Amino acid sequence: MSADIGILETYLRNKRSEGRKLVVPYITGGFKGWTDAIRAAAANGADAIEIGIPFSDPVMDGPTIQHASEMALHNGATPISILHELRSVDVGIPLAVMCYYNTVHHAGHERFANSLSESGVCAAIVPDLPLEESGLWCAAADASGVETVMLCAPTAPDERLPRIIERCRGFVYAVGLLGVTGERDTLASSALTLAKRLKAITDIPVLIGVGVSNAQQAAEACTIADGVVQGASVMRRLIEEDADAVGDYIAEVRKAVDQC
Amino acid sequence: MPGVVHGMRSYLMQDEHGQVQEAQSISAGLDYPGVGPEHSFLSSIGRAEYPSVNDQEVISAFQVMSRSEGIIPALECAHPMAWIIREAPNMQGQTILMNLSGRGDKDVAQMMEILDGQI
Repeated sequence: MSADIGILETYLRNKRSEGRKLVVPYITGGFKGWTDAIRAAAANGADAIEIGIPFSDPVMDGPTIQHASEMALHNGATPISILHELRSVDVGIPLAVMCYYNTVHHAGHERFANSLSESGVCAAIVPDLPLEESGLWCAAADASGVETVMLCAPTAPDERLPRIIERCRGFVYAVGLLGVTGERDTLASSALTLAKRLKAITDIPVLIGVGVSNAQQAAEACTIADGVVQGASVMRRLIEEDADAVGDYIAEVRKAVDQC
Repeated sequence: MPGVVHGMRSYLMQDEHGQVQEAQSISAGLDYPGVGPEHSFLSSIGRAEYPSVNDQEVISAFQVMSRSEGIIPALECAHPMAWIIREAPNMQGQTILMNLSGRGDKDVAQMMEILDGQI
């Protein structure tokens, strides 16, 4: 098993073993300033970056990331252009992509998996691909050395969690609440409940994402989880301000979770 | 070309990068970029053909059916009616069976707007 552990998971496990909580910002590929935002996040304490490949029908995303995706598509971003640009982004931490399944399906499993690995992307998150339908993609991803991060919903029954984890590479994405991405006033109690359930049965890093809206909520999530994925709060800063604001925010999150 | 959106794989209106394209139809029920899996399958095995009609033909069929049969068809069902009006003259001696699967009460307000002043 250990021989199968990929770049992302190895990196995150090593960081965790140093006692570090894991901060993974999400940035929409193709949005104005996105590569600068990746660099700023990496320079300010991110442990990996999740890059969103914008899709016309982003069913998991709330208004902020929907807007960012629309703008990116409007600017002419395509899966190919984003992966091409990523080739020149070397920030010394692992890169993962988040994309909807039609992007993978349209390109073809092997071709898409190869294009990720050729662009230096270690992992893929495909939120609308359920476990039961994931076999062909996962086989292609495994063959290309791409780690497929699986999501666990807060409603997943106990018997399902181990089956998801078994197929999971990189980290396990604990979906914090029943809803779409976006900032909330408080961290949902379902986030901590799910993280606790996952931590009890797996050694793979458990990251809470969806509804982790600021540094304080990130710290709260990290009392149980190994880390957080933050998207809308990052993208709001890139939309309203710039890459520097993203860097400042990640530094703030880093500081908060370091005190856990 | 087949694609996957909203949890199903079927024929899908999409661009060369797999981005879903906007659909347009006078009928809300047909204003969707995908096709039901059953219809996709029937089409793929050559069992059914799926011709098209335009909005103007649909409006006209809606009126013809309402006037001649006293049945207000849903705009979705006015589509096959429009096809029949167009094609029946070339099908002498054949039998045409149409499934009128929905009623058009729901579409009356929209039709009043569309036909404003023409009724």
